[in-house]
Amino acid sequence: MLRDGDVGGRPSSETAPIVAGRGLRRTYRRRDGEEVRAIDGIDVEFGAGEFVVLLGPSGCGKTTLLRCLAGLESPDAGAISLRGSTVFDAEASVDLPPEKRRAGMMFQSYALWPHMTVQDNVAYPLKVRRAGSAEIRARVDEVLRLVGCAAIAEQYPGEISGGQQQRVALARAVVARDDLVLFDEPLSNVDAQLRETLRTELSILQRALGFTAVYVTHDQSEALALADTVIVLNQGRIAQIGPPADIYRHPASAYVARFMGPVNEIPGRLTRREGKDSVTTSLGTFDATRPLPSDLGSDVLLVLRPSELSVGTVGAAGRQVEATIRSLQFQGDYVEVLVTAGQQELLIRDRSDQILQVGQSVLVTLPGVARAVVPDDGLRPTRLPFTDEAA
Amino acid sequence: MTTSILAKRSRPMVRVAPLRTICLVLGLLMAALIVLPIVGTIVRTFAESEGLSAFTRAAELDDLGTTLLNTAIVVVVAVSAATLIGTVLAWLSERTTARMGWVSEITPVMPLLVPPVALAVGFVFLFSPRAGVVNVAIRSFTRSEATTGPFNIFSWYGLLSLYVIELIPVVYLVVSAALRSVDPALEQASRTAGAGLFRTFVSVTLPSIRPAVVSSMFMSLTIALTLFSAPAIVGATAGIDVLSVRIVRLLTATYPPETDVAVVLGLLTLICIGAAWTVQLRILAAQRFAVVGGKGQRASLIDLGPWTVPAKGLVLTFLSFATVLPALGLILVSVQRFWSPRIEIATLGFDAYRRVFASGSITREAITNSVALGAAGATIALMIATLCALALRERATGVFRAIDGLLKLPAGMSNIVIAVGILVTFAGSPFNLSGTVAILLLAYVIIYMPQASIAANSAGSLVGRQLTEASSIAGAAPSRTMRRVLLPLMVPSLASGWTLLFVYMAGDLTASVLLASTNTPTVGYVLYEQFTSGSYPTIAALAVVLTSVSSLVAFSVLVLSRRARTT
Repeated sequence: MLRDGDVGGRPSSETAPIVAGRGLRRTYRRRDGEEVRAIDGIDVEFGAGEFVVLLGPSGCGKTTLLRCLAGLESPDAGAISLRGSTVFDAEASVDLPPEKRRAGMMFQSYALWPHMTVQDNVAYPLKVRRAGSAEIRARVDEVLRLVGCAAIAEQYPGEISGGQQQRVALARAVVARDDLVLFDEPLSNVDAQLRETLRTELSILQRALGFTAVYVTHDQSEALALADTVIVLNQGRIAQIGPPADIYRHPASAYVARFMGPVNEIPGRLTRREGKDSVTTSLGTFDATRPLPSDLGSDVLLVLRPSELSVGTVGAAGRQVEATIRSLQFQGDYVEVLVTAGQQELLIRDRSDQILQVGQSVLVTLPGVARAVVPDDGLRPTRLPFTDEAA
Repeated sequence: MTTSILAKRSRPMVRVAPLRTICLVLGLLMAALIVLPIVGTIVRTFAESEGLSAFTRAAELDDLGTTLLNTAIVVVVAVSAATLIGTVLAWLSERTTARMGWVSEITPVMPLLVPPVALAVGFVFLFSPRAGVVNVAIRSFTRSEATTGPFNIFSWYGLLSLYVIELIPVVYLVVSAALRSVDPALEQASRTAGAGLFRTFVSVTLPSIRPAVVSSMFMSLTIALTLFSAPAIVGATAGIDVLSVRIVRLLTATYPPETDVAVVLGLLTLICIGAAWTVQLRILAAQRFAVVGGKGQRASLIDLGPWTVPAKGLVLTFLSFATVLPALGLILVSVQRFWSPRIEIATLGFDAYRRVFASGSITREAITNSVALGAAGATIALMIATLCALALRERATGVFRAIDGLLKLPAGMSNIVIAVGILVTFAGSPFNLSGTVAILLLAYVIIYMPQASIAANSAGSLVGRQLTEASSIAGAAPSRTMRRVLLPLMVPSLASGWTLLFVYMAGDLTASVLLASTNTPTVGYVLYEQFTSGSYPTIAALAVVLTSVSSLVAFSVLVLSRRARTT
């Protein structure tokens, strides 16, 4: 199948989805008797070759959902089908064990068996599926070469580096060429630089082998980099589902907006101007680039990413407001500037090389239109805890 | 196309049904074997002795008050001393520069290799007032004219020292394990806050390991109440009777055996243990303990400065008193013709060993029996415990938790009481196991089941859950996952658990003294029986053989399992 080339790409509409879950619910009972809804009514459908990332903070239910798909946990309600055949159905009392679900999985701890060599670890899924020994050898060699671990085939997991362990775990997850591979925060245990390398390798491998990937992470940059589809989870429910660019640019809620990176949230009211939806805030009125789902007059938040703002008159296409610099943080490629404009805090990524000072009065350039507007959830995260003089 | 199998939603029930069934059956069997004899015996005692006459006769026993007082003194003093010394030793070896590489690694296991009965005999040979090897050496070194002393093992301090030496390893083992899991940053934070070494130990280290200290105290209290070797061999000559010896004597030294009175005394022991258990629970519940990190990182050792050498000396002194010295005493007596204060090189020889191994001798039979019982008992107990640990790992439901707790129940009871229960239940009809190897095996498996269960559980818990999940995901059926992943990874821990069980069982005295006979002798039984009447070199040689077999088995199993472990 490796030699067959790219069988991946976009999900095709004629075939059954690789993964379909509906109404999935899983409740835990804590020691004190309180019920925790780990996943709470989730419907998903993943196509062939699709790279799906389940994203959310710890406790949002992403790992539970993945483990339910794998068969390592059983939901309390709902149904799961893989490749069109039911593997779990709470009502019909169907629950196929993990070994019958034909999925690969890469664990957070890698879970390499310490008493087997790298080769034996990778060969294991083939052996238990009764492949011939010649085929096993060929496929293990091939996949180990693919992940750059051919040279350490004879070694034990305890003798190789963390990055190599990761690659071996990846090799073991894909060696059986299942059309579904599950990833449980597989990159969270390595340092930042190695993580980026492995992320790229994983992405290339997934395109080459064409399997459907379901990938759990709490790292939004990882999600943006890898995903065809991002599913943001919040307290066991799907907060938003869509391509990474959509989720980043058009968050459906303040929760999603905040989770996708630092944001400026400017409270305002939904108004209408010349037939267009717009947002009126203390910094002015911004026309929305698309119709907004909220009711006219409702409280909303205008979401501005720090890179959409700039300090000074550079590229003054939008509108400008007066502001005072409260703090400066040099970050290499940019300077993170925190200013206050009236009561409003604004975080800015300034990429110019201008000299700035704390306390300085500056003009801040805002975009002319409102791209991201979400319903106001009443939360007001602040970056300046000591704002007595600013008030 | 749809290959779905019909199954209950709680899938593991289906997946490991055979394992669970086996575990359930075994668990119920063990439950019956552990609980029924004791309950049955107690009920029978009440029923057959017409009301409370057993209690009346128990109360009328000669010197019962003295026995109880003696027991209380021994238990309180020995347990306090052992807890203190054991905790300090553990702290020195785990946390300070007194740590001595491999010596510290094997310190907790070393004392186990000299079985209690051999230790007591060895101490008699060392510190007997007239002919004790150490006493003779000191007298000749100081050119003393005296014919006895300076030490006398047959005394209060002699008896208490033996108790303390027997109990220290128990405390050490538990406390050092706890110390290893306490985040060293807790101590470092205290030191950087300006607290000194001692203050840090008292106000940070001790509170964070208090649960371990308390539970090790409870464990050593149970053992102290039950310990039979030291009071039987040393206390009898010293004229200090304790409860455990009285119970055994009521069953073996009187005819007909006063079983019902013995049971009443056993009940008394159980009540003491129960009371201690309640106190332990209360202490543990009242405290909030420091968060214990599970990082298992090697802490930077606390520098004791000039105290390092004395501290190392303390650890080595304990080791030599618990193992090296008694072993030397045993060896020295075993190569003599008869135990005499003067050692004449010319007369030394291995006659005693020849006698021990002489064909048809009771000693030879005892060795064969003890080794066979140790091997068989360790294997059976560990198999049962492993099956139950696996079932518990698959699904920790109430039933399996209950079985797990049940397997550990004998640890909270007196070994002697269990042995009495087995004697009363299985010796006569309908089982008629009296004087058979089977009744010994049964007793060993039950009495040492807690140790087996702890070993199996920890072996299982050392294998991360994801390791077995990865195998299921790869498509392996549960039986294959167990065979290829779980069991191979458990082997090293199971091997050391087996060693421990073998050493306990081969050197057992408590159960043997009640259940063995001249037809089915064990080493512990023969050592005890012959101590007052037999030839000392033969006794010493038998004890040396027992210690050597235990050590040999322990070391070879440990070496083999270490070699098998490839990571």
